[in-house]
Amino acid sequence: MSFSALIDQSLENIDSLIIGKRHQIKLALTCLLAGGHLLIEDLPGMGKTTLSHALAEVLGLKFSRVQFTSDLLPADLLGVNIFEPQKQRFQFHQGPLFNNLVLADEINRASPKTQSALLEAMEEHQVSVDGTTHQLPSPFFVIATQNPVNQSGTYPLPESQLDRFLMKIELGYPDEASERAMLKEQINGEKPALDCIITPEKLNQAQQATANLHASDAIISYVLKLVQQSRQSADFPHPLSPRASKAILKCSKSWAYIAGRDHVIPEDVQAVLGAVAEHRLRHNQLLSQQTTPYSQLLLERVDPVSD
Amino acid sequence: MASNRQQLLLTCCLLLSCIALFDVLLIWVSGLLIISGIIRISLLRHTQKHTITQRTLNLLAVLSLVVLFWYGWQIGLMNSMLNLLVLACAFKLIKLENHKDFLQLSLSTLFIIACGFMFYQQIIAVVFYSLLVIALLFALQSHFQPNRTLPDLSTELIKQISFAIPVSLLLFIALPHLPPLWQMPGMNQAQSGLSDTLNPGDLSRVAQSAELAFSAEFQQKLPTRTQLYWRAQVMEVFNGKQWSRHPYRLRQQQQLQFSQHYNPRVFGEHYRYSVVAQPTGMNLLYALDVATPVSDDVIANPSYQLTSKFPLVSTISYEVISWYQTPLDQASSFDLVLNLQLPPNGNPRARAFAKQLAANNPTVQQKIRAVLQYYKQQSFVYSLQPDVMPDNMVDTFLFEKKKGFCAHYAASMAYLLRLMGIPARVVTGYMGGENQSGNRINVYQFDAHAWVEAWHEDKGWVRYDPTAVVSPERLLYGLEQAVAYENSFLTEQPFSLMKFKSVRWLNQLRLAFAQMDYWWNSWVVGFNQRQQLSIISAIFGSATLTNIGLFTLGALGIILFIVAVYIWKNKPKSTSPVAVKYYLHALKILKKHGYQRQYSQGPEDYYQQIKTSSPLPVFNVFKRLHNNYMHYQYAGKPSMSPKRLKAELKQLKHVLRTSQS
Repeated sequence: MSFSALIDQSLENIDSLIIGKRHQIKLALTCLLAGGHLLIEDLPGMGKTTLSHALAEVLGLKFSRVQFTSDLLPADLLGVNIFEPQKQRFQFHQGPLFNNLVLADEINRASPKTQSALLEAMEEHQVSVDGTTHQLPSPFFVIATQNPVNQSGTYPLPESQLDRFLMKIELGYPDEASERAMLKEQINGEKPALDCIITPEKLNQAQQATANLHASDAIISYVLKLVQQSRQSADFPHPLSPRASKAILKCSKSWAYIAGRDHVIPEDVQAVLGAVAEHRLRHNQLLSQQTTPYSQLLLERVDPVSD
Repeated sequence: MASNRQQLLLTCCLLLSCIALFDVLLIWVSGLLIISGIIRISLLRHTQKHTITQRTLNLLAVLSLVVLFWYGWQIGLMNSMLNLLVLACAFKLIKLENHKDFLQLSLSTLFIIACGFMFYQQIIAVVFYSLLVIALLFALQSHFQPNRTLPDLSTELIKQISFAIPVSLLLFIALPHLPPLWQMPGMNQAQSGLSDTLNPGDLSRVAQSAELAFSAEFQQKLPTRTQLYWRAQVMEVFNGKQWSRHPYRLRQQQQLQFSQHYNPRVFGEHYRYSVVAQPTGMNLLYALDVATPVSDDVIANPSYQLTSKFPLVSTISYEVISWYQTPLDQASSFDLVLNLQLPPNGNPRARAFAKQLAANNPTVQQKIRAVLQYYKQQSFVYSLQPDVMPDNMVDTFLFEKKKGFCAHYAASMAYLLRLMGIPARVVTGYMGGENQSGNRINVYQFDAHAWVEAWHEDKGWVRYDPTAVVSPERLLYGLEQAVAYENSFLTEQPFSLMKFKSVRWLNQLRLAFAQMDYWWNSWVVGFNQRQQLSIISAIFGSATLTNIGLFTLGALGIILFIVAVYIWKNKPKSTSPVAVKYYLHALKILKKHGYQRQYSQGPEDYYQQIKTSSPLPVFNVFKRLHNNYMHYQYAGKPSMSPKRLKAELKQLKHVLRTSQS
């Protein structure tokens, strides 16, 4: 069974759980395939946690969920050294972070101190407790969910930390038909069980293949033109960084891979740009008056078909 | 919107170009411009946030227009138009908001700079204006390409200028220099130089200026210093206070413009020379007696004067032959009667004195000698600072003050001669000049002079210079020596280089400047058809019509070549491979038939759109082109051959046509 078929099957399965959010699910898979962390932002009750759960199950990953609150401490996340009287020494007890997939629920409700502990682990793939460095398992993904910043009791993530997330997606309200189907299912009372479809080995292979996917000069120029546009025009208060351009290309490759292609086309870039670039272009939502997405504006200004 | 740097540069250019025109602009117009400049700069520097509202600005503009209309009568059409332009620029500067405003203001500034040339044509002005133009071009360029770095922009600008300079030089040399189609609206401004009336006090004011009046380049030998009486105009009417030209002379001059020229009988030896005259706003030209013009635009008249057909609003050059051995023996009976006219009364002592002289001296020769003798024997003093003589000027001068400038001497002598029945007139012009290298003589405003001509039955008009009797130094060495005793030379211009003749290197510097100025005036400002023809004959041997044609065509050819090289060098390099080229072409064709692609639409997206919206044959052809493009451009696979692509395109056109019909 080819990987593309596996992906399709996973999509089907997750789709039966979260109805009508196929594009977002695909983006989430893309993000994981590209080896990046995912941020899901939406109002409570939109299915953020359900999606994370489903992803973990489909990918057969060791999963833990941490509910972030304002009194959560870094130690609660990383683990602590505890003195064992029998052995007369300290033993490290791993925290919930030592899993393949960590769901950091409502990340912006935690204090900045805890946030930064998590984000450090995301970047380094390791944690340091009392001077000892502990390697995190591989693969290591963080799916964080956050409520919109204007909700009460939130600490907005700083720009530098938002940048750590490869993608930020929003689920949004389902359309009427999807919601109807959802409600009917609830009446029936059966909740579809999810199987592990993609094993960690398969995922590893797929990640290798994605990295080696062909991206032509034309695609690279297209990405460059997009990035340049954000830097040249005064309409974009936060221009895209080289890290962002790398992220765009990486995600485009994953998207192409999921679509079963062995090369990247402009539509791949266009499909992922919103998720990859929007949170980098618009750092603090509260301050911005811009209503149309910046990534949309960016796409409209660059012609993908030109020499 | 242009960033601050470009706007600041533009503002500075505008202000500087207007500073250069300060004596043309009305004071309140300059004030308004400076205020709007300050407003703009403070807006740019964020020291001020609020600009003037549109309504206030409109009101201000209307008021300014009314005031300008009021003043316009006094300053002449030309100047009021220029003031209007500057006013408009000042208001635009306050309201500098978008791309269009920026362009408008830049173009207007260029226009103002060009207007500056109407008033100042010296090298230094040209250097100044060139720098302004370069700064302005730089602002424009960085406005259009805001992302380029400073060195990058500079090299681009230098490249463009290095292409533009030879083109403009060639255009300047090769384009036919036609006379102006319409005359410049008169400049109601006092220009330096002689005026058309002679008030004895005025000439000494002219002589306070060290400005160049004209320079003359002789072909072979130079005349001696005592021959250098440059006739400018002849004053024949005396009204008791001032000497002026007779109205009839003006009419005569206008008639001469349209009828045949006045040709006096000339013989003997001659000097041939060309004169480069500075602008005066009048028609007066300068020449030694007896002058016959060579240039077309110069007219000789029966007063032995040369005049130009057009007022001298810019430097002009003309060529003259002076027959210095020919007597000035042409005079009509009208001339002789006119030159005896005097006001009926005034100056009683002079009248009595003339009567007494006439009684003692029977012949004309004796009478004249007696008058000159009077100047010599009495203690007359030559001075640049004569006292004011409001009433009975001749009496006061001859019998009380006995101190005056050349105009006093000439005016009083002509008056005495007329009283004694000898036809006499005052001639104004210049006397002397400074020898330059290359057979050239520079004549400055302080060389202004006035002398007398008296009529002899046998010899015609004979020149008498009473000043020379009183102060031979003026004749032999010039004004500076003549007034050295009272130290009044150029007192109003303390820093004129003329004052430092004794310092050797300063004098050399001054002479070098004068040389440069002469070259500039004769070859650039005064460049005309004659010089154009001389260039052509230097190249081809003679200036026949064919050669002129060849020259113009050749120059145009070189210009076209330069422009072609520029365009070729700056051609956007189309390195796109065939697959891309033909795909783009296919898109164009489809667009023409109504299948519009959005600017940001991806190729796959567009393909899906064609799939759903176009008839099958069209889609089938496009599919092949699309696949080829996608394979080549994104999958890194080889493209179809150009030949096949061409065929596909043809096919596409065909199916589009058939599907539509």
